[in-house]
Amino acid sequence: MNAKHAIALGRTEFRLLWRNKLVASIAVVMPLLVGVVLATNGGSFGEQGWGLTAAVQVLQILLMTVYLTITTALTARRQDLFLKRLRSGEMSDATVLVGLVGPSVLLALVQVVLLLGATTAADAAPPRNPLLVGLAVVLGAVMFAAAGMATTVFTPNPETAQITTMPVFLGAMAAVFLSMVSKHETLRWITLAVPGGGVTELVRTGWVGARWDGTRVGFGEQFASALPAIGVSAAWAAVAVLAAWRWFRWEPRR
Amino acid sequence: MVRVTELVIEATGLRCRYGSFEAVRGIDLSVRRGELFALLGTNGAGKTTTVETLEGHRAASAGTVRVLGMDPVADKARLRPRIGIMLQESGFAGELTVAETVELWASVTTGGRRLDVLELLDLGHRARVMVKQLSGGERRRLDLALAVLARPELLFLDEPTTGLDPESRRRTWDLVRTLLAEGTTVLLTTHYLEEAEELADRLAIMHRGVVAVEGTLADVLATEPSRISFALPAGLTAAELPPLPAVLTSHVLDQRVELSTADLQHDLGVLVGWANERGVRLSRLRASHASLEDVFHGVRGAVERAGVAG
Repeated sequence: MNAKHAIALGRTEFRLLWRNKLVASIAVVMPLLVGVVLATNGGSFGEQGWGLTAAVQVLQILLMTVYLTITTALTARRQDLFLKRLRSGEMSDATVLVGLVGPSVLLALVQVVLLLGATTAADAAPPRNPLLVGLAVVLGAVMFAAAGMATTVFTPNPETAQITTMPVFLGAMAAVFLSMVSKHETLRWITLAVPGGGVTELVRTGWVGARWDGTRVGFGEQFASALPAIGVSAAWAAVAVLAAWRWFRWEPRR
Repeated sequence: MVRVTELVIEATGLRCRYGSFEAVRGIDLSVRRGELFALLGTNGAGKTTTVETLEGHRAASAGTVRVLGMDPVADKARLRPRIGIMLQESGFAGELTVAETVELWASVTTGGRRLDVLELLDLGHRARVMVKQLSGGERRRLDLALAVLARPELLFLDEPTTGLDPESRRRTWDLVRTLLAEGTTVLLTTHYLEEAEELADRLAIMHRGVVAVEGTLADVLATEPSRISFALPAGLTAAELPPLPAVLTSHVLDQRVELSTADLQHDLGVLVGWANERGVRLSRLRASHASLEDVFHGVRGAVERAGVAG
């Protein structure tokens, strides 16, 4: 990979994200709006409320700024035959992908920092276990970036990205809300199995320093209790990366 | 003068297959340094597949390919900085301006001296226009601009002038000639036979995945006989015409005689001498060497006849 080329392409991609109103609203306006509303209402979810607020913040950013944006933007670049053009130059496939996907991921990381900062300010308490929160963000970013690439495979044009991203989008949102209401073990495992469920639990555990059922535990035990969520998230990330690697298409179907 | 005939492109027994369809069925190509080699052929002849294989966009299913001494797929990272590619079909991000597109391409392209491509291709006044607002011809010129930006050693042009008006086509030819004069090697595919006649040092005509004819323009034109045609003078029959030694075929239809000959100058001299001596006029007399178009149609006919026979 050529970092200089990837950065040059990434700068252009930023510009393109910004110029397309639909994409800019998905990647910037929506996450920040939703985030601010959440950050100012975190306490209303009860005792574990701020953990859930943080989890919803992270998830909605990963879904909109990473997953939806990457699916829409890559499909548009493919449809314009821009991907084909980029491949006719000097850049390797890896450089092109990093250049195109990097800006969305970077934007998401900035939003996570901003909104979790706002949440911290509103809660007046920093996360108990920032390592777990950071791990959740990294695993989630890889998973949803790769899932976005894989979703372009069955997305014929950028307009239909709104529909083709629905299953993963709704699944992940459902996982967040299930984890909000449920203290039942079976439901916890179902939630974990859904893409995004693991990320939700990791953020929540890291934020409030408690097991999934709300029992407060020590620092080391927080990692132990998070192992299933880490495992499941890593597995989904691996599946998404493999799917993207195997099926990603550089040219539109004729 | 000693001619250095270093081969820039060398393909032997090249085959390319899409599933069960074989688009290129065993061709040999050699392109020498500094020349413009034109690859002609009908739609579906395998030109673009051949070019995309040489560029390293796809792997050959059989045969060997060497471009600047390298394998275009395995050595892609080392080869690409030295070549320029203008694909038959590719696009831009519509929401970038022309200048931003060129700037992006320059920043992801290594290589020395940059050409002022926008001025050379008359796009300077369109620099601040969004790419999506360009006309088809302007987009094609922007395609070319990116391909030649860093003065590549080897340039692939896949139908560069399709859809261009005559003025833009002439401008494109001028730019290609400038690059050739600077030592760039060019592999060109085109539908326009006059483009090949105008620019090519050597050319090959492909049909149904094979190379049917190859050589210099003179070599290629020599593969088809020359033609003579005229109206038979009133009161004469074809049997009264003088014997023409190099004639290959002759047809008479509605008093119009059509001959093909292997020696145009000699046979034409005999015919005209005979007419002058007899005091008859050969009205609507035409005599010409084969054109590239004749060769092109000859190739299609020959391959199709061979196909039926086989």
